[in-house]
Amino acid sequence: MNFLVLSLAILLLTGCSGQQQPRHYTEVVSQTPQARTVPAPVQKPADNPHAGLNMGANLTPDARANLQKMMAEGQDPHSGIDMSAFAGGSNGPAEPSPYTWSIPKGWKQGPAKMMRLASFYKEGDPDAVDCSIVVLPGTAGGEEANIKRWMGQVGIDLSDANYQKLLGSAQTIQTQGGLQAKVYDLTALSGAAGKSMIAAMISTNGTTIFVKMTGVGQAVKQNQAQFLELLKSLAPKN
Amino acid sequence: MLKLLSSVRITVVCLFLLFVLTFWGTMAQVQQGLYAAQERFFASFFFLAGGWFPFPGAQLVLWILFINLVAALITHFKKQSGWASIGGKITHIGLILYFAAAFFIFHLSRESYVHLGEGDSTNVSTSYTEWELAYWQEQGASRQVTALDSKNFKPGDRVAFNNPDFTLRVAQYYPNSDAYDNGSSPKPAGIISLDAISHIAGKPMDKEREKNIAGGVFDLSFGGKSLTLLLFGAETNPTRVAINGKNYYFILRHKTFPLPFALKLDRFKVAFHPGTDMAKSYQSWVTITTGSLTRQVRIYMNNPLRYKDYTLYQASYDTDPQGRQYSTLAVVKNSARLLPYISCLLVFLGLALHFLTQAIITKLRL
Repeated sequence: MNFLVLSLAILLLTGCSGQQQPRHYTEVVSQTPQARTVPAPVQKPADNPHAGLNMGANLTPDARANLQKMMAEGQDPHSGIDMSAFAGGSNGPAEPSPYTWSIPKGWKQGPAKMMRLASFYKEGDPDAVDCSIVVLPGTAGGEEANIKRWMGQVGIDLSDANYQKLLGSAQTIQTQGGLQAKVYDLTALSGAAGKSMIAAMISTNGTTIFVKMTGVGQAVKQNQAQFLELLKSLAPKN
Repeated sequence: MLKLLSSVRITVVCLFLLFVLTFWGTMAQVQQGLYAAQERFFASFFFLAGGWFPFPGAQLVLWILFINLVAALITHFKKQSGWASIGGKITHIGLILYFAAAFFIFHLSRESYVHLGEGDSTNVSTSYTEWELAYWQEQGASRQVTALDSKNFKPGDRVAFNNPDFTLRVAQYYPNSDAYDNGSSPKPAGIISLDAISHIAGKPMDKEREKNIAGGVFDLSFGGKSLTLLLFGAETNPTRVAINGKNYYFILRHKTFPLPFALKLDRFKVAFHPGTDMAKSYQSWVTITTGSLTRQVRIYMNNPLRYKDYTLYQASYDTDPQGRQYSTLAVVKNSARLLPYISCLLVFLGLALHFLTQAIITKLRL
């Protein structure tokens, strides 16, 4: 009975209180800096699109650890990855990028996010599209798995017809640095108002480079020229 | 009126609606996400089906069912006062207690997590979805934290830290945001932020609430100075500001809850299915310390650690680039945890008595 009365009193008090009061508490934490990263809630193996695939078979220990971390956190491995995995060296933002690119006119490069090689956004409208360059070791699951995952991400029905249509629309582009890029344009399937994407895959030197732009279909289409300009400017560093 | 409220037709309609809502809400979680679907179907009184048709939410249906059961119990009491009806009454009370338990658990239980590497310890847990603005002065392993929930921050609000050294006002607050730099130009003067962040912009809420990252622009005034403090929720380090010769550390982070014990992860073990990266099992060996008492416990699937109102489950794990493994333990605080057991016991007792009395009555009649 006391519990009920107390609970009701708490509910009434919380419901009626005006300005909230600050909470004071002592926090005692003994953790390494890495442990302060925020993990996503429970990720069941069944949610993992790579479940069952031996994704880490040909990776370096660092790259394997990175990939496992991202999968455990429920992150999209192709929306960004720590480049230390690619370089096979130590972790940290000081690792130099193995590629160069030119920022398209009207776009800006965002702050170096830990998990991405580079991010870009439209000047004056930073929420219009989100573009990223990501490099993963090996085949990163392969073409088919990635395309199906992308289609799922933007809510395109994963039917065989749609998949074949997308495969058929793939464009091959050679970048200034001599890299062969396959470009997949999902805007035709997603429509102007729905979430959409243009993505390119480049396989080179035992790695896969992903250049991806997401946003509403119309915005993605409007920024397609800048995306291709960025893609074409991509070159390995000497 | 009481007769109308206690109608068994209402019970049947409510149960049918609950069946529909459970099925519909479960299916909708695929498209709308767990939290959005829970709010729409289960936490609401009404929602618009197809964008125009008002459909009762689970909260309304459960309230009606609760009233219906209470009315039925009263009617039952009035009609049958003999010992033969005692079983039915106890069963009704047990069911009503179920509703009370659901009500209290819904409003009073709290879910959070702790994230520890081997050898790490903590005395706080972290919310999955709620955010707080916090500050402290000492940047050590132990710190006195002052925090406010940021959920209701509005532009122009004074942040009620009540610290005589500084005044903080909300210029902008975004429940989901992104941070940007100033391109090749340097960060504008008067802005305090981590790294090169010079601008924070809001973006639409993600349907999975735990993926949203709060961001805020705050006007910080002290000693005749006025600065703009940019805090981005994805930053795991606090932003240091020197105020009146003291170092203050500000951070916008997931809401943090003090625990009544300290928890240390002694060992973590994960086993994979052969040839895959799929975890077969993972378990944590922890030491829990309360005052001078310590206890060592192994937490693994279906074997949580229970301490008073707290239950700690093995939730997930991750590995950092150096290969160090971290264990994530879900922390559930539930002050009403015993109520469902008591209700269940009452229902069992009521039904047992009911069948027993009916059997005796039948035998006596024969």
